[in-house]
Amino acid sequence: MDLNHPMLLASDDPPPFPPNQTQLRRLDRALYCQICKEPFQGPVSIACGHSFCSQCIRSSLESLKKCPVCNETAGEGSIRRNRALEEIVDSWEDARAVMINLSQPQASSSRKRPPPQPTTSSASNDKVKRLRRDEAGSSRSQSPAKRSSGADEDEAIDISSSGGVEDEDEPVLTENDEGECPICSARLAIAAIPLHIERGCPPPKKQVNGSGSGNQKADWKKVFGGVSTAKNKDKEPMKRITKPNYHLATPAELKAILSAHSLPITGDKPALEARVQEWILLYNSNLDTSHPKSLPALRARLNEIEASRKRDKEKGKDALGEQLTTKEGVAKYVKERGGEFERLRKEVLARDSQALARAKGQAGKPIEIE
Amino acid sequence: MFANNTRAQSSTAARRLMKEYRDLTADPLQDMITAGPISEDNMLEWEALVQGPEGTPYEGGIFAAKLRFPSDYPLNPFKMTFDPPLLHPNIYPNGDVCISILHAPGDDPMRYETASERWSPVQSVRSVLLSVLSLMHAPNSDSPADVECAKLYRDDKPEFERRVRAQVKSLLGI
Repeated sequence: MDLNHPMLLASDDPPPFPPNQTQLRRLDRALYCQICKEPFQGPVSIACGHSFCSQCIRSSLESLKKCPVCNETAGEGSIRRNRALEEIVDSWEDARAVMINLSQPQASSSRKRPPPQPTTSSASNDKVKRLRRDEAGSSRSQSPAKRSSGADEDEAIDISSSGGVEDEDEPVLTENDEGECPICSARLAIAAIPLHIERGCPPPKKQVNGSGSGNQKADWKKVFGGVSTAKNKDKEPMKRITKPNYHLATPAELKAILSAHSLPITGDKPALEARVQEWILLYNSNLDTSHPKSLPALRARLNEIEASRKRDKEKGKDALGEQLTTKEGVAKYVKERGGEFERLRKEVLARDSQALARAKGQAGKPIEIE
Repeated sequence: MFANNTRAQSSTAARRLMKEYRDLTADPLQDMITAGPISEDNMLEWEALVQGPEGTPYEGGIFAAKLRFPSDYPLNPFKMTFDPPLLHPNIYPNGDVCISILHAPGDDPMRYETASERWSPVQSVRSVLLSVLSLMHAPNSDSPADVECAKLYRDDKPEFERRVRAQVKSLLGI
C-alpha cells in the first residue's frame, strides 16, 4: 500500500522508529495505551496491575467491569493514578525525537540538517563527541537563548543537554519557574524544592513565592486569620463527580448536574444522559493527569465529541441498530430476513426426515455454493 | 475530509481506526491481508482482502470482506462479512464471520466461549484478521455458523475441500 497516502501523513502522530531498531520500538510500544493505541494520557492502574489512559479505562469499565487485557473483574474504585508511568511517558515523549535522530544519524526527514557527513560511522562518532562537549561546556542558562534563535542544527543537542525538555510545550526551566516535587508531585518553585523535601513535603501554599520563611508565614496566617484561606476559593474545586444513577435520575436532576458545570441543558433524556456521562468521564479522567486541561477546554472537547458522534450517525452508521429500534424497522428487517429463517427451517425439517436413512453424500446436499 | 482533521476533531473511533490503518499499512501481515477504509469520508467502513493460507483448500484464493465498525469502537467489536460469502463452517451462509473474538462481551447465551476469547477494547483489526486466518487453517466445527458445512467438514473432509476449491476457482473466474 501507499505509505504516502494523505490520510496516513495527515496524522499528528510522532514518526515511528525504523524497523531495525527493535529494542526502541518495543520500548516505544510499551508506553502505548492498549485501548487507544496512543501514548498514555493520564495513566492509571487498576487492581490487576494493567495500566491504561484514565479516560480509556473509565469508558471501557462503563460497558464492562473487567480488565480489557486479562479479564479480571475491575471497578472504577480500583483506579489509581500511576504517576511514575506518567513521568516515564512524558520524558519519553521528550526524548523520542532525540532517540530517533540518534538512531538514524544521516537521514532525517523532519529536521533540516547540515549537509550529510561523508561516512555514517564517523558522523555518529563526531556527533557523540559534540554532544559530550556540549554537555560539559554549555551552561544551562545559555541554552534558552540558543533555542529561541532557532538554530536547527543545535536543536537536538540543546534538548539533550537541558535534560530532555521539548521546546514548544515546556519552556526551559529556570530557578524561578515552577516545578514538580519528585516525591509528592506538588508544584512549587524549583529553588524551593530541596527545602520542601527536607521538611518532609508539606503542601505548598499557592500565594507565596517560594522561599522557606514565606511558606512559614503563610502557614501561620492560615492558622490565625481564617480570611486568607478564602482567597483560595477562586480556584475551582477539583473533586471527582459522583455518577448519578441513570435509571433513576430524572431529566431535571441531570439538568441540575449539567448546569452546575455550566453545560448546555438541551435535548431529551437520552441526550442529557449521554452528555452527563461523557462529561463525568472527561472531568474525572482530567483529574488523573499532571497536565489537566482547563474547564473551558473540557467543555469544548465535550462539544466536539457530541458533534463528531452526530456526524457519525448522519453517515448512516448503526443503521441496522437504529432500524431495529422502531417497529416498522423491525417489520422491514423480518421481511428481508424472513426468507433466510424459512430456508433454515426447511433445511432442518428435511434433515430430520433424512436422518435415519442417510447416505454419506447426501449430508452436504443443502449447501449452496454461491 | 480527514486530511485536515486534528486529534481533537475526529471521534475516538475514527482516531483509533486511523491508527490501526497506519499500523496495518506500515507492517502488513506477511502480505496475507490488506485492509483499509473504503472511502476517506467514512472511517467506520473498511474492506479487507484475505489471501487463502497455503496448505488449506482456500490456498490461491483472495477473499474480500467488509468490516463495519460501531461508532463506539473499540468498546464494541466490529462486524466482518465476506462478500461474496465463503464456504466455511464458521461463516454464515450470508457471509458473516462467526468468531468468538468478534462477539461482544456479555452476550453468549450458549456459554460456548470463555470470556477471555471475546472482544475487548485491546483487540484490533489485526488480531481479528489473524484469528480469521487461523480459522481458515483449522475450522472450529464445535460451534458452527453454517451447520451443514460444519457437518460436511467433519464427516466428509475430501468433499468439503473439493467444494471449497471449486468455490475458490469460481471466485477467481477460472
